[in-house]
Amino acid sequence: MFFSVDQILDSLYQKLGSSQDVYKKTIAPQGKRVGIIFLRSMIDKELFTRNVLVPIIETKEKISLNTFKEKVFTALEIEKVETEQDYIKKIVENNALIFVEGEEGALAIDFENFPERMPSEPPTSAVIQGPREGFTENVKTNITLLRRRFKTQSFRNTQLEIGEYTKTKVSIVYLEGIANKKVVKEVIKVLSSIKIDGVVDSHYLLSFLQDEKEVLFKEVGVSEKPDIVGSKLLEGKVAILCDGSPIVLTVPYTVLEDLQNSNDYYTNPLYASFIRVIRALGILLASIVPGVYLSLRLFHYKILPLKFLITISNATQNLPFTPFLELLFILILFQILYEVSLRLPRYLGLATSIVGALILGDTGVKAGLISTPGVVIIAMSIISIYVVPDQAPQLTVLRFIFLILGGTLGLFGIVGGMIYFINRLASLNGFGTPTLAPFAPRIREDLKDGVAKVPVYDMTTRPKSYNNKNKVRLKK
Amino acid sequence: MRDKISSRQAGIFASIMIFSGKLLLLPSLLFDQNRLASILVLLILFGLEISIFYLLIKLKEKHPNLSIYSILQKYLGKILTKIIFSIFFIYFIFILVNILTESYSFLRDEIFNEATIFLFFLCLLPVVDAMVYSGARAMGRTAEFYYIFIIIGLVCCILLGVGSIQKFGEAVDVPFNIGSSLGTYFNHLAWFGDFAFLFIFLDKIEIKNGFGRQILKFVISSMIILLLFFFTYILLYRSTSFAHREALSNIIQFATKLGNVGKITIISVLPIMFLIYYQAGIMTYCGCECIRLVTGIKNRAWNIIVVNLVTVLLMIIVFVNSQVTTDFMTAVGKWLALFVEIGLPLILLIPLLSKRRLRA
Repeated sequence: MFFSVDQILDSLYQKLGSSQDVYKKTIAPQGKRVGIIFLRSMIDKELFTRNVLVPIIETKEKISLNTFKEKVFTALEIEKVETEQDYIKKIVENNALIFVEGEEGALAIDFENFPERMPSEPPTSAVIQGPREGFTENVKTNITLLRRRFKTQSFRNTQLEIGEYTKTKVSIVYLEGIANKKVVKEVIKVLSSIKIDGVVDSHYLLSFLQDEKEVLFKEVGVSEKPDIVGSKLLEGKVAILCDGSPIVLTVPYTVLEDLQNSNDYYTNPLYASFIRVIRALGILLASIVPGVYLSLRLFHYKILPLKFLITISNATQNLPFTPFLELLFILILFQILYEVSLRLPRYLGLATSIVGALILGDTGVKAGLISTPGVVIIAMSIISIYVVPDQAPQLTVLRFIFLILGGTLGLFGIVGGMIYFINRLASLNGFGTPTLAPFAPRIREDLKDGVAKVPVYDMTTRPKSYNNKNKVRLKK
Repeated sequence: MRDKISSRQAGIFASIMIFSGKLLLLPSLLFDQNRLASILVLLILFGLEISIFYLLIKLKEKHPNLSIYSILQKYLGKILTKIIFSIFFIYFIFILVNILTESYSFLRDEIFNEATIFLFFLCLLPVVDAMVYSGARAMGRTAEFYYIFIIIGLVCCILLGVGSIQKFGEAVDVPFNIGSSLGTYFNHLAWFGDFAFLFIFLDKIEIKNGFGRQILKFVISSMIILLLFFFTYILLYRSTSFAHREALSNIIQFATKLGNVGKITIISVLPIMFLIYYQAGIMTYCGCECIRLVTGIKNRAWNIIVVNLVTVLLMIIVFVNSQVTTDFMTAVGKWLALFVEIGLPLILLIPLLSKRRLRA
């Protein structure tokens, strides 16, 4: 059945809910009616006028969709669409549609152009020496940032659309011949089966990629830097890029990843190993030290050296709270200050520091509400979390749990908690990779990049933990 | 796969079994009866244990697809096998109760004076149960993760103790007597039998080349560490040596080289705590598997509850303190242990030496 250009434009306009940002126009070059429709919020009008409107008006060629495609818009990304469903789909995907009177179908011209952040260094992955670019919110830019590093035909990019309303583009990127095909298939299967109304950030996908029973620990790696994701692809991992998010997910995942930092690879291996030990200590400080301190104060003070015990006793005598309540109070106070400092406008940041450090901390101690050792222990624990920023949510929760364990069950409870949580981590096996590898199960070859790091020329094989293909990494 | 462990993890389990039961109370018990000769008793017993470990490994190599239960079933029939595994269940429960009563009194003496038995259960059972419920694979990996820290802790104890020894050889006061040593061994049989867990775990080990060697490596090195402990105790404490109930932590406490650091008893207490959790976990797992094999109930949660209930009731009603448990284990437990640790390995010699091929 034949419809006029105006009828089609009107019909599409109504289908799009007569939205204010729908731009429709009919022109008649050489006396033939040509209809144009697009979303003005998504397409640069000036760009459109220069590249589409003017060439249509000025062309000497015959006015038809085929001529436009082959002779007029040769430099643009064009696709011919035939059905009304496709018309709508293309319009909402930031395409301009061109109709010609008397012809069926339309030309969809990709004009995606909306405000975009430039690749900049992510705040949590700063390096002293090394690449400073980070992913942006645009999946196409992110793919470009990755592809620029892999000048090979093995670079694969499978794209999916997830979300009933958002139709978010999700790219699954891997290196053919290195990544395990089973993992790739599994990722595609899991993501394809997601029936959700919308995906606004890659973290929405994260929960689908891990064991649904696991609520504390993660089984998916995250990164904001192309160099890190690039190195993970070389290890045989699969990257998942989501439009609208600068966070790229990678699977399979091991806890070791969070202990590693891109800086480690751009510095002296011995120094990198030392820093990794410090990070491991940081994890302990962040999670269990408040609990251990509390248990020593409450139950096992006999273990403490005498001088240390006297110092603590002097500092904590006359406190109105029990040691447990005191530490809980300081911890919650710190946590509130942290949340406030994240959301407060920057110019108020200084005020928060003054309120937090001086008024709450110093005055609290002087007033005898809290003790100096308590503040020191909690401050140490809070700061230590950021040696492994990717594990900050987990460590924060663990710190509270260990504080409660230490305050109620003493050291025995803390040891029990440590066994319980490591056992929980040990039972995770996302995409066939043990989360605690290469420590448990121990994979000797992968320990080369474990807590101790060997120079690059000694890392001759890809990590065995990930069950990847093509094990040889460096031929000597 | 959720219930499969590597040979390295099996070796670590064996090592944990060797350490945990023997570090707390056994040394002083043996020393009371044999003095320095208790080292020789230990050497003899270790030799025997290694040969039974070897027997079990050879049996697995011969029948890689069969469990001990299936092997026994083929030779002894269903009923007799079920009876044997019921005896196993009782054995594992008594070992568990023995470890827990010793551990409870150790912890109360050392660090947690206010702890009641219920607080002890509250600390221990949820963790042990979660560990058993998550399966052998997760248990194995967790043990593998912490093993290095346990070893470091124990070696520190030895080194710190050795650093404090001032004179050697003063502890030799009772001559070695083979009859008395064997008598001591028989009385304390229930503290040995570290291989018993393998009756249950053997079919959960992933069989690869050299799996037996891997397990034996852990067994022998653990025994060496234990013997070093023995020597350290005797040389450090001289005539009292093993009579020290809290010998392990006392090594740290009395170590003279640590004056500037202060008391660091925690170095000895922490490995012990880990070992307690683990051995309790391994024993609970074995108990649950026995219930599954004998009754056919596959729901692990129910089996864990049964093991917990029996253990808690026994500890509250019968074995109210470490002395009662020790008396029971030396008087009655030894007969049970005699069957599990000597009788059954002898029975297992039949399928090992037999030329009959068994099918899974």
